[in-house]
This record gives sequence, C-alpha cells and structure tokens, in this order.
Amino acid sequence: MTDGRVVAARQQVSCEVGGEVVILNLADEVYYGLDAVGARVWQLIQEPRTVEEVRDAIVAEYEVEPAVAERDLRALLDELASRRLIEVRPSA
Amino acid sequence: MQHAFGLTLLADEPLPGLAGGPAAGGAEVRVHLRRLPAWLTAEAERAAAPWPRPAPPPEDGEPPLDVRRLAGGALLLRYRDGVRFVLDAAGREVWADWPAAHGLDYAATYLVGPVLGLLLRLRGVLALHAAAVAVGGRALVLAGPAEAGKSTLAAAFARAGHPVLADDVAALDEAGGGFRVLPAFPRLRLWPDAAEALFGRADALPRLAEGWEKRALDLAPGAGFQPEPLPLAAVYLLGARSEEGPRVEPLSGGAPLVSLAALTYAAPLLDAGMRRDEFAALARLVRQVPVRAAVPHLSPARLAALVDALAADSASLTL
Repeated sequence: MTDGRVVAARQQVSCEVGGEVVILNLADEVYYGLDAVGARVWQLIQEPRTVEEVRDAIVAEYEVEPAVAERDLRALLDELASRRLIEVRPSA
Repeated sequence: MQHAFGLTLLADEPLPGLAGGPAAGGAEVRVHLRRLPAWLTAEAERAAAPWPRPAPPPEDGEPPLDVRRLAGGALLLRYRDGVRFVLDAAGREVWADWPAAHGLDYAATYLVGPVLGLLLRLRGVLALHAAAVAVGGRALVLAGPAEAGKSTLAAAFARAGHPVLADDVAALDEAGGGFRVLPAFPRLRLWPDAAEALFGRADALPRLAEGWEKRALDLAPGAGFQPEPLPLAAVYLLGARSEEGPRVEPLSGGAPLVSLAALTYAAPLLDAGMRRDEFAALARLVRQVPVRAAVPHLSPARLAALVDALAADSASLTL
C-alpha cells in the first residue's frame, strides 16, 4: 500500500453518527465502526488520495508525530483493504 | 377483516391471534390458506433457485427453514415440518399450505410471526427483533436477539399497566420526519418458563397450537394491547442478565447503529438495495431517537424493577 492512491470502495455505504463512522459492507453485509480519527481518514478517502496526503492531513489536525500517524494509518488502511472497504489505485 | 402492523389482512378464514374490526385504512394483503399459487407447478418448485445466502437462523424453536426464489422475485419458504408459504415480491399476497395433520392455528403461528415479519421487509418497512410497549403515550422499543426475554418483558409491562404494541417484531413507520411504532397483534408468545415466572404455572396459559411449546397470552384491546400507532420515544437494547441489573446505560458513538443493524428482522432475505435503504433508515433513527442498553437482573423476580427503571428512564427523555 506504499504506492498509489486509496479510495473508499463502491460496495459499501457509511454514515457518521456520534462523531464516529459506521460502514456497511454490501458484499458480505458486515458492519464496521471507525473511531473519530478513523472517521476523519474515511472522510478524506472518499476521493482517491495517497497515504502521504492523508497522513499530512491527520498530522495537521491532531497532535501526533508523523511517524506514529503513518504507522497507525497504514494499519487502518490494511485493515480496511482486508475487508475490501477500500480500493488501491495505481499512481497516475 | 383483520389487522396487524398497519396492514389490513384479507384471509380466507380469520387468523388466530390477530385483531379484528372494521377497515383501518391500511394497505391490503391477501392471505390464501390451504393452497399455494396455481402458477407454482411441481416442476417450478423443483427448479426454484436456492436463496444465495443462508436462511435466517430458526427463531425460538421453529424447525429449520429452506428459502427458494421463484419467478418474478416471489419467495417460497419451506419449514421442515411440511408447512409452506409463498410471498409475492412486493409483499401484497401470501399463500400458506400445510400437512392435513395440522390445523390453521399451527400454521398461523408461523404466518402471524416470521412470515408477516418478512412480508413487512419486502414492503420496505423497517422492522426490528423487538417488543414494543406504551408508556405515557409514547412507545418504547425493547430490542434483542431470540431468548433475550423480549416477550417476557413485554408481559411484565402489561402487568404493570403499560399496554403492549408488539412482542417479537416491532414495525417502524417513518412519517412526518419521525418514527412511529405500528401495533402488531394482541397476543404474546411466551416460553413455558416465562409463563411460570409470571403466572405461577406454565399451564396457566394455553399452547399457541398443538405441537408448539410456546404459550399464548391474549391481551384486551385498549387495556393490555395498544391498538393505535405511537411515536417512538426510545430504543432499549436488551443485554445479558447480570447481578448488577436491573439498570439502564447510555450508548455512544457508532454502537447504537451497529447494534441495531444486527437486530433488523429477516435481514438475510433482503437484497443489497434493501440493505442499503435499511442502513439509511437506521442512521436516521439513531440520530433522532435515544438508544440505550437495558441490563436485566439474573432473577426473573426483578423484572418488575426493570419495567420501573425503563419507564422512569423514558420519562426523563424529552423529544
């Protein structure tokens, strides 16, 4: 997931409630919840973005070291990818 | 003419357990008894495609269910005891057929329960695995999986003077920017141990039908039964019984939505478009209506205290 852009997959619907995001994967009908920072990441990847772009946005908005932000972000994106909730598109 | 969940049911014979009365203006559903549709030939039944996803797990001791998809999107439900139902894709018509050894009361136990629940979903109605009761002119929805104690808690509300709208399927009507709970029918279905806890003896109540373990508790319209829809005040998720109960706890973040999404009725039988609509409706629901956790005490003797705690909690919520 180091290269390319990530974007929310099409086979899902999501909504924000109480500062968190809940996603329904329409392919397997499993629900998935994201905390406040995860919700912000989800909002950002509603259009294709690189990991670095998302990391920089999170670092600018939350008190977090870039290295920590990137590690947590990659873990989250790996998790979302394993559940087929995001797509990775090759860089242009 | 009979009514349930805001629908007017036109059945070949009166269905046991349903409320009768003049037309209430609800959409009409035709119920054909002792026959399946003429177009369903033996060949068509053999050729019917299995439902692509697993059928919902059997409810409360019902025999396993086989679901097939027929031409035009109709559904064929076959229970292992030989009882069969066909529902048209729009949820306007139901056919029921059963072995001659059983009576209408036996088949009606499915029909008035899970089959009507599924029919509501085909009609696009949001329905939860939940009981619903009336407190102070508003409805409380008590949601939980099978065996969570929904019917027993509903019966305890009725004993405390709070009329019941539903004991297992709570149908929600979204109108005018808010949610209302539609009354189901004036009969609670209780396991023998619940009947014993409430009335001292399991056989204080009659069986739903010969061959069914559950007991029927019939409620009087306007007294034990709430026959008109009421605005939804709050949803309580019934958790596991605990020594620390009875108590009510708030839920935050995405928890209400995720929990309720697992408790919608007959969800495995909905297609992706219907699940998408359901998700949007649930999201509107959790934004408008408080959703809280209700923890019953281990002892059934403390059920009345849970009723009081829930009534007091709902009274503290302003709309």
